Amino acid sequence: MKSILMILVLTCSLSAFGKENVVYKYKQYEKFDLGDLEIKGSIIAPGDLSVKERRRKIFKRKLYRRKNFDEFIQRDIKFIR
Amino acid sequence: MRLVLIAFLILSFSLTSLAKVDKRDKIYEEALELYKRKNYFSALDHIGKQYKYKSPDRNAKHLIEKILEHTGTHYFNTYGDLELRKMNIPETDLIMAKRNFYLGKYKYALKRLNKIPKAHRLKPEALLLKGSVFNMKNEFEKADQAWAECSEDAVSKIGLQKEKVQRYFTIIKEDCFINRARMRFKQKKYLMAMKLYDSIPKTSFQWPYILLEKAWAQYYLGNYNNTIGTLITYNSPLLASYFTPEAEVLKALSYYKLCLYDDALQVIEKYYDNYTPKSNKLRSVIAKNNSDTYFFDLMFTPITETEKDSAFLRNLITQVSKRVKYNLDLNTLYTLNTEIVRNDKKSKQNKLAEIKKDLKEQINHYVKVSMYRYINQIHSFATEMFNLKLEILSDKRNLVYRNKVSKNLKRGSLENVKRESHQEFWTFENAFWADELGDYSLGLKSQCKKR
Repeated sequence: MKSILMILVLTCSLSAFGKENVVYKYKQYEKFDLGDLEIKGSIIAPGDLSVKERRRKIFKRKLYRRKNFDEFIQRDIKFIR
Repeated sequence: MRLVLIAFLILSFSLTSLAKVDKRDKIYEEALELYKRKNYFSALDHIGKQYKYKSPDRNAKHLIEKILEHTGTHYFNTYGDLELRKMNIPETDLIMAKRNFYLGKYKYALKRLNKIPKAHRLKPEALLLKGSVFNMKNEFEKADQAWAECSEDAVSKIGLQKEKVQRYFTIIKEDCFINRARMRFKQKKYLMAMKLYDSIPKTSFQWPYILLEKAWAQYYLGNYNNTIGTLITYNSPLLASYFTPEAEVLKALSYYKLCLYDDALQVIEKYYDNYTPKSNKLRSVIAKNNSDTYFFDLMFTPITETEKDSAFLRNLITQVSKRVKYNLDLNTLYTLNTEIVRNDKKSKQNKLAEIKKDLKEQINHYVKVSMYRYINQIHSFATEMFNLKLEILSDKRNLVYRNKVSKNLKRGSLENVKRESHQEFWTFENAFWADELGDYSLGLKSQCKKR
């Protein structure tokens, strides 16, 4: 039994030593000719570029308005006595 | 035994009531004596405190009214409503009516006013108040009627009075007339209001004040050139002492309505440049308030001194000193001083000193409130100016976005002046003439349509 275990351990360690580091290399320069590319499909975008103008927010402040002269009427009474 | 007891009770009751009548008669006689010796304030105090909780009889009422002709009504200003009601004379009725008017209790104000007899010297003032009450209640026909009656009554009482009393009735007459124009304005009947304003003579005491009101009526009629023209009158040296921050706001608004944004902005900038130092000056004056009679004393500072310190402050003091109320109070103070200096053996010197202190404090309070009102006006209209400035900047920005900024604006032409059939206009030659005041108009063309 012991001898079987020994053989197993030996084979495992040998297989681990046997693996090599793999180095991947990518292309350093690649040229795309866009004019040469062909895309299959139909054109659905509008022909010219257009931007829809945003509706500008209008701020209206309440400007001063005099509705009556009631306070003047009261003021004049106070001016008398 | 029982009969004896009842008889004793009746006897003691009648004796005490007799004693009371005797005491009241004695007080009346003493007050009359004081009055005859020209100790008016001593007499008023002597009889007045007796009737704080009991209505005076006919004789006493008559005497109190006679005394009040010399002392004025200020003595009763510190009385409560209950005490005034007990007094039950036209002078106290008017005080109560005014109090109720300021509190918005119109029903009670009218109740008091209706008690004032037709021939009484205070009737025109009562009618002025009555019209004002109806105006506040939006009962315009009744208001108009009361004010028309007030003008007539005041004219009939001007007669052969002393100059100061004549001035009092003249001002009441003018107030009632002006109020009729104000009421039309409130009803949005601007043309009618304009006609009434135009019929007020330029010699009237109130005329400088109504220019602003007239300008508002022109503004709502869309005559912006006339509005600005009318307000320009305040620039004349003759009216330089009048304090009218609201006129600047209206001027800027009119330029804005004509789409003359740069002109409007200029008015706004001028407002800040002009009123900021004035506001600071007023603040410093108010902050100095270091005695109970500080504002009272301010009114008596020599003109050269206040003018050197600030011409603006001097002008405000002048404005306050022109008011009828101030003059009436001052008159009362002089009468009181005369009584104190005369030092009659029957006069109540301690009481007189008390009344004098009280009166001085009342005048001090009146001037103080006026000063605070001035400073508050500067600040509230500065806020309005700021709002308008934002609006103008916003409109100007919109013009830039739409690329519609006008260049080479042409200024003024008689073609743009709206005129009535009886009006004629000449070009302004950089000088204000007294007969022209109030009749100016600009001839600016509105830039709104172009844009």
